[in-house]
Amino acid sequence: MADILSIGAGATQLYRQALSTVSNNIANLNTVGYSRQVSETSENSPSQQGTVFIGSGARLDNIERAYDEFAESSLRDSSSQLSTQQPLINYANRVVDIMASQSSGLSSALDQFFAAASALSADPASINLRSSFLRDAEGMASRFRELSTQLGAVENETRESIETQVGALNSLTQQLAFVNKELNKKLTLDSQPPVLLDQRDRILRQMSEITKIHVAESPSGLVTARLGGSAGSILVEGKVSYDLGAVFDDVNPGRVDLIIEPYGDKRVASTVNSGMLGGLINFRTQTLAPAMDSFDHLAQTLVAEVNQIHSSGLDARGQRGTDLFAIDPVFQVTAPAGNANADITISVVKPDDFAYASFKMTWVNEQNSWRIEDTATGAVTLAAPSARGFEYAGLSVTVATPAVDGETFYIEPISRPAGGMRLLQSDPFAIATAETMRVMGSASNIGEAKVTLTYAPEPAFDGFEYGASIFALGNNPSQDAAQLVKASDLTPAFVIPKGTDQANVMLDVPYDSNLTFQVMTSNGVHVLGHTLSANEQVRMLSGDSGFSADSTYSANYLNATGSSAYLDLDLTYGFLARDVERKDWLVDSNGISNEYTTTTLNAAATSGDVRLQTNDAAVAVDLIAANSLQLNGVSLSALSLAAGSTSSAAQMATWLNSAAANTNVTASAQTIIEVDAENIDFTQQVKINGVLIGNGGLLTSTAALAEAINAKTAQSNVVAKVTYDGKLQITNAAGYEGENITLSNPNGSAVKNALGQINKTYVGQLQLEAAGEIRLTFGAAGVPADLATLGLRTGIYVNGPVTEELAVFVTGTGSAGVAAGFGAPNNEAAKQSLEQPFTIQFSSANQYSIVDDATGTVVATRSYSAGDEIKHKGFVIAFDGNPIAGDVFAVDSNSDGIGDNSNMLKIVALQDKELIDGSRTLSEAYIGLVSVVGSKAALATISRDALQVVYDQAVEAKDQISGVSLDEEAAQLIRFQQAYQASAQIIQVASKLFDSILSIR
Amino acid sequence: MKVSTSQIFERAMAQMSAQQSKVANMQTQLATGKQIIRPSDNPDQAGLIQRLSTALNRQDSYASNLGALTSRLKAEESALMTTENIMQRVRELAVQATNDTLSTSDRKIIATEVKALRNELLSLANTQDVSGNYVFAGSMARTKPFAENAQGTLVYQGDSNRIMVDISDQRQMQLNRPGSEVYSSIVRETAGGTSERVGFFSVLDDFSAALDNNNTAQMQSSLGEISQLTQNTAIAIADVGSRMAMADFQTDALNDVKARYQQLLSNAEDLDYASAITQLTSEMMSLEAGQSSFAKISQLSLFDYIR
Repeated sequence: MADILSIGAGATQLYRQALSTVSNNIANLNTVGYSRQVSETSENSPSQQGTVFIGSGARLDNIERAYDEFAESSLRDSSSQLSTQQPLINYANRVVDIMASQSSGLSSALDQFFAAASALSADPASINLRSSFLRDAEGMASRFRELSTQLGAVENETRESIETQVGALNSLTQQLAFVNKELNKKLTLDSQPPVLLDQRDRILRQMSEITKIHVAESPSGLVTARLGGSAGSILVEGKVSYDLGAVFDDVNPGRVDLIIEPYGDKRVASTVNSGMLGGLINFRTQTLAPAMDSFDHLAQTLVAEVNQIHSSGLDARGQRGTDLFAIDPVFQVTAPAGNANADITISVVKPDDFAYASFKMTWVNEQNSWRIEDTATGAVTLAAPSARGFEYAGLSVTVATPAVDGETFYIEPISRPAGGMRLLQSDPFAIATAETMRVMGSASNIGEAKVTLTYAPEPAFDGFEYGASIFALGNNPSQDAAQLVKASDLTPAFVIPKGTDQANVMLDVPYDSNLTFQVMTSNGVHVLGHTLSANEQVRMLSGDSGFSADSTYSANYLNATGSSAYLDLDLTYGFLARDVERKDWLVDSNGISNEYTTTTLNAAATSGDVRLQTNDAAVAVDLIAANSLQLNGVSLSALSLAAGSTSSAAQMATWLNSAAANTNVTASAQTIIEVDAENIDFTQQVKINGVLIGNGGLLTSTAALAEAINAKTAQSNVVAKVTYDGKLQITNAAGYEGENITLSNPNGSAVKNALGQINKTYVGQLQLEAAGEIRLTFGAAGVPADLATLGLRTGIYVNGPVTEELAVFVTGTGSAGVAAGFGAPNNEAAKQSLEQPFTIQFSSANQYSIVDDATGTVVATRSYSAGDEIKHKGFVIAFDGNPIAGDVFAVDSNSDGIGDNSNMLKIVALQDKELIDGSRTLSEAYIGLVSVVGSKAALATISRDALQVVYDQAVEAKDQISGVSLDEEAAQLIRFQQAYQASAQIIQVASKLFDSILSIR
Repeated sequence: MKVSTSQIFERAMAQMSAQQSKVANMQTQLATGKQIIRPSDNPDQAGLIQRLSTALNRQDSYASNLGALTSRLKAEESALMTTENIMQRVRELAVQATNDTLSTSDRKIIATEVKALRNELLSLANTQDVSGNYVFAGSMARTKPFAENAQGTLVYQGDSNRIMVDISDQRQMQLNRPGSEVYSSIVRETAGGTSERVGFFSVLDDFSAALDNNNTAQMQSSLGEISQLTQNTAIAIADVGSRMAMADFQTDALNDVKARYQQLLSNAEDLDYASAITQLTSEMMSLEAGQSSFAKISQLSLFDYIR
């Protein structure tokens, strides 16, 4: 009975516990993360009585948590994947809604801008249309700004969202570490409280919504969580959790760096591409950043194109247009306290090079330069030495006062290009609607030809085929820098490029050379050089396709000066030296002031060694023929060498001075022999001009040598002195300046003498001086060799900018050294020359000349046949009908053509021009941009729908195991209740049995 | 397969809210009459709509250009018609003047009329359009095209620029005809055997001078010259006429193009009510079915039967 009673008692207890488990399940029906619990029972061990085993009832073994690890992990994975899509969809749709909106998108603003331009082109003189064009241009610029701001807002929002997600993840990892700590108290999983495990799984599921995680479970139920896959960064391990941080790049929204322990030892986290966080990062990299970049590119392209057109037209006042739009980046300049400068000016000078990257600038005294460090890449550049600023990455940076050593600034562009777009013009009359130039037939033309002018975007003349730019010679006109050039009358040796300022090209030739320079324009105008034979003319103009085929050779401006020069250019061929202005800056108490005095220094030149020639003939010969050279416009007589005499610098100086009254150039001569102390050979003797120096014995010092020379001055006509640096200098004595000095050795077999110099006759050099200029040019028979006789180099000197490319020929036989010097290119002059009016004059029905109006220069004479187009300076002039002799067509400024719309039509035409990547128009590119974002959103939507199914299945699978069903619990309730009642009956039976025993009397 | 109680509720709720949002979306479509409420509903379609409305806007701006062109041409035409009438009269007078029977005083009377007509022609040559632009000044719209120069001769002061206006994607039309071509000059053989250009008004002035001086030889040559001028005017009228016809033709073509784009835009943008309403009804039906089945299923519980 006792055993029956104990079986009964044990069973009631068991079923009460089972009932309470069921009740707990029912109670937790709506608890999130609750796993259904099941009571597990087992038989008690039986008692053995003899050979039989008698059962001793049942007991509660364990309360099990209905749980499946695989169902749980597949639920986590599918939830990561599903939550990846949501931010993609939401934000991509936001971007599409912003950009594709009919009212606030860019399309309508672009349409309106071009419609206004088109309307203005129909009546350019209308002030109303001009105003509405400005209004719509402003509308478009502000639409760019608004959209950029809106995109910026999305960028900001996703940034905050990422930070929120990272924060939530960090809080979850801390909770998980805490749960791990609790779990650590028990050794086995079975012994862990189910509620703790439920909590653990709930945290893991929440984490996996933020990012995909990899979970490893220990036997006791502790988990290690990693970011991404099994090799990812550890977030939680045992009781320790590691924080995650996100770092953003200000310039590139696509760049988001995740860092483990951002406030600790900072390790790069493994990539996150799943979960909410993955979706957000993905959106920024793959959707937002490209969209913002394309949008900026669109703005930059539009601004550049419109400005280019607008600034090449004329406005209603006849002035050249300026930029219509500007893109203003806004910079944030920060500096540590104590910097001397508060004022920094930054402007974009080359928009193409400007990359919107932030940088740091530090003045380094030692290097006398600004050290610039790119904040993103860390690349360091040193600016050109200047304490007041520099140019860097398309920016011009200027500081108000000179920099102090170590001064540092942080420069950060805070707006995107499209966000800084702005209309520059506010004056309706400043809109450049008209073309710069126009053509008009003269009112007195007899011919009926009607003329039209178009501007060819590519100039008709694109340079000479042959001939290197003189820039290739390097900017050094000295003899040492000369490059050997072979003479050719077929192709130019060099070209002086358009825009070259202050060019000079130098030619080195020997006395007996026939080499010369010839300078030609592309239209066959011979500008500098020597008269050519008909054959030579043809040869020179035929070899290079750069010469206009129809043009005829012209020598009208050959070597001309002043107002009769080609385009009134200041050109010299020969030798030129000018007076120089010297500025002397005045010093006041504050140091060097802004005031100065000017001193004009006379023009001066020193020649090289003059020609040494002895006339062995019986009659006098000319070293330089009469009228070969002109000095300051005065023809020089012949430089004649008498029979038996030898040329010298003195003789040439006298010859030059004989014309000084007319040329205003005074010449002097000097022969100098300078000997380095170490070259003096005291074992030898020397004779100067045939006079033995010393008394026949050997001399021992430089000073003694000088003294000995000076002792013989009366006979030798030379004097000597020891210079401060120990050299021995031998020059002509007074009254003999420029005479030749002959050195010889009394020992006839010696090559050298006491001076260590070769035994020979030494010639002197000429010094020329004049108040204005010294200009040596060639007469009819003169050649560069004549200048070489005087020890002078021949050059081409261009004073001022060259407005068209000039071909430089080196003609003659052999080769010559050519060197060049030039100033900074003056492209503005070249640009302005395009606006110089010119006239086309027909001398007959098949010949015309082009005359520059300002200078009257005939720049080209060409043959014409009916139907030809005339191309000049990029203009194409076409005729309807045939011009006849005497017809004149003037191309001049369109400054009063207020009704001309040619330039506006070019702006209108931009809407159909494939500007973006050479394949899409502005509006197509914009719509394309929106549809790329849209298709990303659509793709994400499809993925989401598919992943939703996967997720639902995972939820279902998990639910099937761990979920609570009321019907099931009701059935269990009845089952255990009945079992409980039966167990109670067992006790009853035991009691009755006991009573039966007791009642036995 | 076991379905947990909470899942039964959650799934029913999810389905019903999805259905409800569909219905709400349909309702907005019906209320706005548009297929797409937000561009993100269908980005491709939104792109198409943008493209079509850009094209349509373009046609509108061609239409406005055509309007400007037509009004300009009308100004040109009316000036030219009057010019032609006057020139006819001048020519009649020239024919009349060369008649040998006319006396000096008769010719003086004719001269007076010729001078009046010449002034009338001058004011026509300086015609301005509604915006105040000189019609016959080339691109120098604010410069009086026929005015006396410093020497006191009446010369053309405009330029010979032709202003082209976009009137369709492929076509441009000439807006103006320079005055030098309308009130054109002629070539006159001089006594020395050379030729010289003589302006429109100089011809008339020479004619009236000949009348004043009773110079019949000059009158004869003036008659020839005036005939030439009359002919040039006729050519100018023909030119304006053909340009106006072209503008009319282009306006018609433009309207066709516009109608086509509008049709396409409407297809892309506007809602098809019949199908939308049918769809709404069916969506509503499935929502109702969901609701009523949920109401019934949620009643089922084993606990109801445990008594």
